[in-house]
Amino acid sequence: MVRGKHAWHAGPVADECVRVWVVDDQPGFRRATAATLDAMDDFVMAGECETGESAVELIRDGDADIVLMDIHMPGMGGIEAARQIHAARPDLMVVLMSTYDLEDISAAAADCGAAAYLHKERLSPDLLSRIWRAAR
Amino acid sequence: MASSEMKPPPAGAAMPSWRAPQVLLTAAVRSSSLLGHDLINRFRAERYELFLSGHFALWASAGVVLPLLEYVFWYRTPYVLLFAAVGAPQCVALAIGLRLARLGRYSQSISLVCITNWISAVLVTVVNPNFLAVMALVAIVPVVFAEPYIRWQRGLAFTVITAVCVLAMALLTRFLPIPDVVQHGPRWLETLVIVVGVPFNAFHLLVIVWNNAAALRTSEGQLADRAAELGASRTRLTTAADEERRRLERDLHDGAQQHLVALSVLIGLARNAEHDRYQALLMEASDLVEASIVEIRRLAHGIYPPLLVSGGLSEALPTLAARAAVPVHLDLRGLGRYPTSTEAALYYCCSEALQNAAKHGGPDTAVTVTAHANDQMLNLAISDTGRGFDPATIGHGLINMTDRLSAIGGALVIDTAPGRGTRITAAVDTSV
Repeated sequence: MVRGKHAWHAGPVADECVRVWVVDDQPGFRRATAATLDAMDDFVMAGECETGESAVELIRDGDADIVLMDIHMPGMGGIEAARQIHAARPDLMVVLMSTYDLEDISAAAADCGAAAYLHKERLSPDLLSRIWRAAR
Repeated sequence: MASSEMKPPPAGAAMPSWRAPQVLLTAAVRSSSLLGHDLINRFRAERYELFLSGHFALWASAGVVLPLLEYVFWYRTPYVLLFAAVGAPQCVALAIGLRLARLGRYSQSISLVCITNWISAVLVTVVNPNFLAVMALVAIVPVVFAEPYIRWQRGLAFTVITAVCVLAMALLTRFLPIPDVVQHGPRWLETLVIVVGVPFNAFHLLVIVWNNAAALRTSEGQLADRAAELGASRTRLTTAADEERRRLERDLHDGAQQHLVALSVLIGLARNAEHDRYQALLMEASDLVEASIVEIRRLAHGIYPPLLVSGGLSEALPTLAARAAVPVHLDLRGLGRYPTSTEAALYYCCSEALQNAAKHGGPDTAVTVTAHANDQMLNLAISDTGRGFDPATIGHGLINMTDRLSAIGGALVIDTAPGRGTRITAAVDTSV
């Protein structure tokens, strides 16, 4: 699903763009994600935040298509935030991310409503597009 | 038997020495918690002197005063004076033994008292074989009360000699005829000496045995408490080590690894980027490399400060103070190099105290770090002018520090209360 609306918080967004929210407590990785989205024509950064709690609060009311959610964050953590976001917005696609291998991730990640797991170091425009297309 | 020579009691015992006999006699019957389980051990020196004094009192009264009274009032024969001739030197020997004990020369004191006592007991038995029962008990007493204070080899030798001595006395009684002069003496007096002497010595022996047993029970109790405390401390140290590993994993994951992962993403982007985007991505990547280096350096420093390895506490503490979030005044005197475990324990103790002062001390908190060292002790005190806290709410960090100091044979004292700052003192015996 590709919408043609303006992001509510970050100024005008090109029509037909996939809006991506990044939730990560690491500013370095948020910058890397922004650079990745910058390199994509049909994806755009819709917003970013540092904690699961703020993600639940902002994304429930905000507008987005994909949420890239870090698993290990102080406070609520990515898995619980994904569960709450999925409950409130089942139409949203949540992608869990971390630097751990999949076998080191808690089993709770499997049933929190997330559509995919992305190893952070594999983040690239191509992979993001493929995840989006596969899920749609 | 004791495995080492006796040492003087620790200075500053809370109870005055004049109360020692009362405490020891009560403790002879039972080791009362009301009196404090450590009193018997604390008054080890007084215990020896108390028993030696009881022995002296017996010899002085029955061996010197009574024969003289007998000679003057009831039986004027030079034979009676033989008892005094034996008793008087024995009293002198016991007095010297008491003096030696007060000088801390227990080994000499015990040897003198035991040897002279054996000789005197045999001589009295020869003079009057009717006193065998009293003298047999008298011969045993010094060995019994000296036994906890001497090495087991000497204790064993003294025990064997005492047994031989008692056997000799028994044989002498069996085969020596009772002299006529004894047979014609006042029998009531002889009976009195036996009737009083046997129970007195028996009671003296029982008190000594009970007291030794109470000391043993007390030591066992203290050992059990110490073992329990060591077990708990070991568990806390293991937990702290696990916690430290978790912290390291978290620091690596949240710090350097995140930077490197982001770097990997940026390099991947740069590889496929147009020329105009290429420079910007490389700049971002360069920033992340810088951040990674800083992060790894900080982490490595936190694991073990390099200055502590190369220069010891005298170089590492000023750097620690300079990096602290609160102003620190340093007064370091006589610091040298110490075992790695000692330096690390004191460094992290100081680091923990500085962190606590910065975190909980409140605004305008200042810290003074004082280190005084000589050949025997190393004392490190960290005092802050912060808010202080209730000592009952001591945190994990300081508990870990206490355990760490304890593991190297040191001690940590935390002196604080709400509103009057905190003083943390670490003391380590550096003579061993």
